[in-house]
Amino acid sequence: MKIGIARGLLFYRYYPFWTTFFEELGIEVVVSPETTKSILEDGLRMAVDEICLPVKTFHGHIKYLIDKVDYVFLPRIVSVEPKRYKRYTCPKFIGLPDMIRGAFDDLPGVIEVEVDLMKEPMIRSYKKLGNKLGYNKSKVENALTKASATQSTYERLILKAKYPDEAQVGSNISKFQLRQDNSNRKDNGNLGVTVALVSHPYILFDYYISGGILWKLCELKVKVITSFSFPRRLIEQEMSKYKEVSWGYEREIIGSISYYLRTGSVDGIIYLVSFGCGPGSIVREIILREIEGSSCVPFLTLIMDEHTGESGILTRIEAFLDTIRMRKR
Amino acid sequence: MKVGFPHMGNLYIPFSALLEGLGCEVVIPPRPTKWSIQLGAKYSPEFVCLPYKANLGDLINALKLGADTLVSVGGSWVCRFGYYGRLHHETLWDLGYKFESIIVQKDGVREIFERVKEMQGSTGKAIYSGMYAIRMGWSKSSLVDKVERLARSVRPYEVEKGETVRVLNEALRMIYNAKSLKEVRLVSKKVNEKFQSIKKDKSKEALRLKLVGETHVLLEPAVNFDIERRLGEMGVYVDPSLTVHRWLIHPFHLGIRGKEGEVEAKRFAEPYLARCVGGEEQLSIGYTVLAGMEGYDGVIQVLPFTCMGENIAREILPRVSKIYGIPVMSLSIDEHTGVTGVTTRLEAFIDLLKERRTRRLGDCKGIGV
Repeated sequence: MKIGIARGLLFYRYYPFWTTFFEELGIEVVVSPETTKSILEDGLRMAVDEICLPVKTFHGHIKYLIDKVDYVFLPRIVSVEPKRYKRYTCPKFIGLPDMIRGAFDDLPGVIEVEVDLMKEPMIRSYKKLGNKLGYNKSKVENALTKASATQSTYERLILKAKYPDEAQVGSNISKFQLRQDNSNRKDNGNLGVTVALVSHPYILFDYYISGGILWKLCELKVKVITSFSFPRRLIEQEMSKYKEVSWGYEREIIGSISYYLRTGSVDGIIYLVSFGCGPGSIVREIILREIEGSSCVPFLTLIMDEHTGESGILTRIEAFLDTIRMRKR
Repeated sequence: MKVGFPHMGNLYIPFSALLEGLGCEVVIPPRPTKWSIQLGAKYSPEFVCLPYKANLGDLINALKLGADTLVSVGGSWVCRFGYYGRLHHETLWDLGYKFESIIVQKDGVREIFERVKEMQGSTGKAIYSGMYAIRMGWSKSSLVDKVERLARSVRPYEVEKGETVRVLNEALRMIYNAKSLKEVRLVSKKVNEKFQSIKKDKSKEALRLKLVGETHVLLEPAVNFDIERRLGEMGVYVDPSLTVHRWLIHPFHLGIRGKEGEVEAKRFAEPYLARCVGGEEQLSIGYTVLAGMEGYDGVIQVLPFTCMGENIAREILPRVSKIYGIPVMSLSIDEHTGVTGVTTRLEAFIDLLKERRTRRLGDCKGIGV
């Protein structure tokens, strides 16, 4: 039995858990490759035209997997925080399996898991999935323990400002590689400028969607801090004034930006958002308000869609870095 | 206290009755127009959906007419709509307008009551006038619903084009002007006669269309290019999945059960969309399934550009359409959508449906049914 996991959306958050869980159960896992032009084009053909770019790309990854696997794994992540917070993820994550079923007529089997922490703990959802797949209880529990351990190691490594591919935990994750060699991502002495790169991990770490901005910044000898490695505790602290924002992952973005603005611990902030991102449109409005009343840290918003060109992005970040350097002088 | 609020279809009639009953003065902004929407869009985030822009335009107009308190609906769930009220008010404060902000949500009812108590002096008086205001709002809302329903059923058969709209507008004006429950009852009787007096040509065969989609775009004729009237005058019977009345009573879970109710629709939607993802997308899918089973000729889905929930439904609807054999057209609307484009698409869709109906009837005759 082969199960396909698409390299898109929440993959970047939960891939250690998913791959370890399935591999421990003895299922062969196929992860789709880095986004390429053809994957994106497949996605554009399959998806509704008004949806955001990461979701379109996800369609392309599914298309790639269709004839290579027996099952595709489609998680339905409804909420990742307990009930008392009343927080959800993005609607598109909640409707993801249904969307994919609607878009593709020739899907192989679908393995679906509903994670809703407002209803039940995550482990129980996966336990149900394991039992449904026909594995006995002890095997499922064993796999889950290993998967959770891997996931928590991963999350710990991420907090140390490591990138998803550097935070390799366990041998089975070695499949996961970000594009290009990461030699120029090492801290080499005094880099001068520190920039916070704020966005969802599925934009940040996808070379094709982000226009390679993370890699470009590293090539320009800039120290990059991503919002993905921003500590949870600080987010909650910052977000205490925005109780009504109920998108869990967007809180991460507003919280980290608000922290950087307040403390001025970085030289500049770059916010990446994909066109048509529903929560993003509101988040940006909140952030702009936040900027008005704070110390001036240079802020750049880049809106990505399928027509964004790499050179355009390079020009803009170079100009932005020049601004920062001028200010520092 | 002069209260202003954004438009959504005929919501202003029951809502102003409610607020006036509570002792407020109501400022009703003019109906949304291209200009008011563009005014709103000027101060809106880049890719937010149309209801945000339209509502912001309405609120600015209300403030220009002298409103000193703005009421918006709020909440925090998956859909963006819950944040709109708050952001609108902040944007307007930044623009230099001065006003009080009331966000109606689950705990907002209490705040409103507190304010009424302040105005009326004593709790007893506040409860009495509050109850009466709610009854006024309720009866007007259900009467508006009835009038709209009558108009919908008469419009495709009218002999003289536009007569139904004239009668409908007159009826709405009468409802709006009714000052007491007794008057509302009188209007209710008059309205029936008025609609009966419209000349009808019952020999016409009207297509039956279901209208589904996002709440605001579905309910606000100024935003959806008056799709109900437009289709009705093309000789199509239109049945929207949601009306203002049903939207108002939705939080109280009244009138949503039973056949063709929301609960039923949701049950039919579940195989295609297992969870509610924020708005009415489950209803859009469920009512499409129901329309297919009940032999409607087609379904039109209206949605604002970049709407999250409806776009998910839009991706699923082709599958439902195939399974239940019902044609579905999605109409995505934003402030740049032109009326000619919409009309052309509607006409083309109607032509296809007419052709399809003739063919199906022909098939039936062929079999000898």
